[in-house]
Amino acid sequence: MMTTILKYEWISLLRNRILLGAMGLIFLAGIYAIYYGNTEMTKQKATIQLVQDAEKEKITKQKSDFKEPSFEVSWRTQRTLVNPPQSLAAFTIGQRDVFPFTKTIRAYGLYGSIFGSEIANPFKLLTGNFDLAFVFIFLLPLLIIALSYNLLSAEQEQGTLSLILVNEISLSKLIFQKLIFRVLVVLGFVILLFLVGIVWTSTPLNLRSIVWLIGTCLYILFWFSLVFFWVSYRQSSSFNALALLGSWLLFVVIIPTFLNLYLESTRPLTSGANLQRELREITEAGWNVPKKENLKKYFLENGIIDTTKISADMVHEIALVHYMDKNAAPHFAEYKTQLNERVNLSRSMSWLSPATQTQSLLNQLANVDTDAYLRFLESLESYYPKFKGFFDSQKLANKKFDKNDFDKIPMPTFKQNESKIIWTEFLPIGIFIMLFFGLGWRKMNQKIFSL
Amino acid sequence: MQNIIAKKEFTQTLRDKRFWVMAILVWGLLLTASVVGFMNYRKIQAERSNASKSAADLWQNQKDKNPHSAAHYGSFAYRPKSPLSFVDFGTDSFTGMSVRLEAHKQNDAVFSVAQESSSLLRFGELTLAFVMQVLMPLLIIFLCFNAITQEKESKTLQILLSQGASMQQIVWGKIKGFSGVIACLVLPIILIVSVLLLISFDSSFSWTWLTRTGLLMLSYLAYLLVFVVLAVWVSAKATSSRVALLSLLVVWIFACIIIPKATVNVASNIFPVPTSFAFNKAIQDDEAKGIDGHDPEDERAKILEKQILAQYEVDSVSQLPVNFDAIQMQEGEKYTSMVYSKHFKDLQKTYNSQNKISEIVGLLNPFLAIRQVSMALSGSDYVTHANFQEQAEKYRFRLVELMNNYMRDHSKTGDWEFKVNKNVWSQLPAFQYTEPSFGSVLSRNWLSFLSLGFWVMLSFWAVSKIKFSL
Repeated sequence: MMTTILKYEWISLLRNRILLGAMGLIFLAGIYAIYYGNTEMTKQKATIQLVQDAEKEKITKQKSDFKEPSFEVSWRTQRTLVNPPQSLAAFTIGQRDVFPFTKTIRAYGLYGSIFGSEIANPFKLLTGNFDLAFVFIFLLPLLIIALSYNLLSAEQEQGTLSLILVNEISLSKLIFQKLIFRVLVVLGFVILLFLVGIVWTSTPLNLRSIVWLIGTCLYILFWFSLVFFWVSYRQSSSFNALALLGSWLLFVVIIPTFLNLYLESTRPLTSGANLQRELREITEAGWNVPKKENLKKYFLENGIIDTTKISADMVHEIALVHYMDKNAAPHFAEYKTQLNERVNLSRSMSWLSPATQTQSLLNQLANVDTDAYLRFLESLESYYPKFKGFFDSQKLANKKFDKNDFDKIPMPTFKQNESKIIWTEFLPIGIFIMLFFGLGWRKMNQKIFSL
Repeated sequence: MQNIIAKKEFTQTLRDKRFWVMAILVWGLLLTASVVGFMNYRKIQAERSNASKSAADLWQNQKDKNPHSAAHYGSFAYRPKSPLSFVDFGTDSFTGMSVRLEAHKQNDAVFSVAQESSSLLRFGELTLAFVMQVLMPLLIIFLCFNAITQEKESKTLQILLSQGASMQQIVWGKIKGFSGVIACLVLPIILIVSVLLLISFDSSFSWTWLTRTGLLMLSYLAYLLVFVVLAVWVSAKATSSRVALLSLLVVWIFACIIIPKATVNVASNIFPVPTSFAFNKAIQDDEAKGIDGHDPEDERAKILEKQILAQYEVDSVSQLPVNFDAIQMQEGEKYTSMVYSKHFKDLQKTYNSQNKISEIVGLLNPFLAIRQVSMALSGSDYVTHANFQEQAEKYRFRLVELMNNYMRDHSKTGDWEFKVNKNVWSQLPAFQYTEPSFGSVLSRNWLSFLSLGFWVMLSFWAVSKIKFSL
């Protein structure tokens, strides 16, 4: 019986031109989304390459122009850290279009260069990216609704339901088999699009990308659990269609916008402007401290006793930058804490809708969310002391920068800071699925005899 | 006859429980969106005006110092929220709100809401504009999809026609009835927005903003009217209620979800923007061709020196009655400011070309037209933000110029110990942002207003062609 039902469902799907058209349309949308995401990320990769090439060229020029050992090289040297997109970023662009992905470090202060954003049309940011995650999260549920809103009611309305039930099949089995058919069709559809994306963007088929696919599939199962829930009420086709569309509106549109409204009114924005103002005052105050006082403090704090060999001017500059960084650090830490709190709160609210939860999950896996940017900033903070420290220790030892010192400058690491795969993030979606299947199951068993 | 039908639809809808459920839902959303949005607007606005005041105070109360050090110390410009931005956040969440103003350097506006949020923000924000643009059309669709099909299915259409009503009378009666229902739903909101606006005026009442609100609400009424008329039209053409509902929903999904996104994304492929790296590099390259404000060995500086010496008829800079360092710095400032403005204008042109595509597609999709109109009238579109950035840059230039010129006239070349005090700081008024004029908002967005008008006419024309068919 199972195979018979699957077979005839397949035949009737093939004969439904409107549905096939809708599937084709969404498939095309998916292909465009992959193309779009891939172009955006290729652009970012090309920019990173350009930045790195320009820096290499600069270093080569610095080396060839090098005349004699001096203390001045430190002020003319810079190193750029990059945050290249991972291959999954082509499927979900997330916040990568908002944040800069290259940052340049110089020896005169860390925090001056930490702000800024990537150039982007605000109107485009507002409208959002047409990436694969958008197709899966926004559009695919609509396809699922179109495929299954009349799962049972069509048979009821055509009067064929009792004919089928005359055969040896229970109502629940019939519904399940019809449901399984649709799940298989949609999963096949998703896996096909996913594989096209994998091949197109040459993404490795590793644990991370498979987990990404699993996340999407879970989201789809959530929609089928909703379908099952509404079908179990055994109402008319138009009722089902409206109920399912209402659910779509609720989970994909209304809850997310409500969450944003809640976030904005309960968690104020960071004190970024405050930080900016403090940085200016710190710089101003730094220059106003008498040179001798600054030096004395610096020597004392760093345990430097023999100061005869050291040039006071040079160390004064080191000390100045050192104290500016030191005074700015707590303000920056506060800013980061506030930012973290906002991001964490919005993530912990995401579970209220499987749509936002899935988006958050997919973005985490692809390293494109705000956390990924915060990690990038951290790598900047941890590299800076190494970079500056190299020059400082030379100057404190009264050793001039030599030509072969170029290769001794610590290199920034380009290693990708990958997010951990947090399996518990799947839990909320799983709970939703069980909830709706459970409720549907109960409803159906109640009504089973009242055909 | 037309009025009888209108009245019947009106009373029948008001008696329908389902309508009230939807109406209360939409009402709740509208009310929450406008009141919470307004409260947030007040909070942010207060924060920014405080920050603005403190920036001005810090400038006025800074220590005595060399004018050029003061130019480096600089100031900040904060973008005030427009009084109507609580109706439509527009691009406000994606643009920076504060600009650091300092010598030699044009800084971007930083700290946007988007950079302080997770990707949850990208699902959209609940604003009055969002409910009116996206959710109200859906309510209208559910209200009107079976306006005519139901009469057909229950065979009451023939009875109506046999009573002497013409098809046109029936159709227009329906439109009138439903428009009345929608108007009753929306009018209280207009009242609330107006009251909130009046509160936000505090002491300074503004006719302009009241007119803008009026025009904004009229535009929304026109937009909703288009949906009512089109829904009735589809209902008259459709073979069954099911087909009518299905086609209207497909239209809604395309108009409000898919087309806007696709249009903007395609536009960004057609008119690509430079990356930050390329943008900054182009500016640096151009600046390198100009005078260096701080390097006396610079070739152009030497030429300038000759000019100035000839002008004052002296042989060396030490004999000059003015400070040559200051003259050179001001020349450098002029040049970099010019270069930056040129590149910034180019970037704006690219953005505008991208956004223009959405405006043109607005002729095919009234959602895009109303979105543009709504943002522009609310003062939260990109153009308003770019206008702020331009004014901030002008103010920065003025600040640096004032310092350089004072230094030029009151000190000698090479005298970096020269210090000035409060009397000089007070010559610079506080930064005050003025919104683009109402007239410029109207003239810049004529296409979107036209699109809305075009859609009203088109839908009316389509309905006027409806003839009886079964």
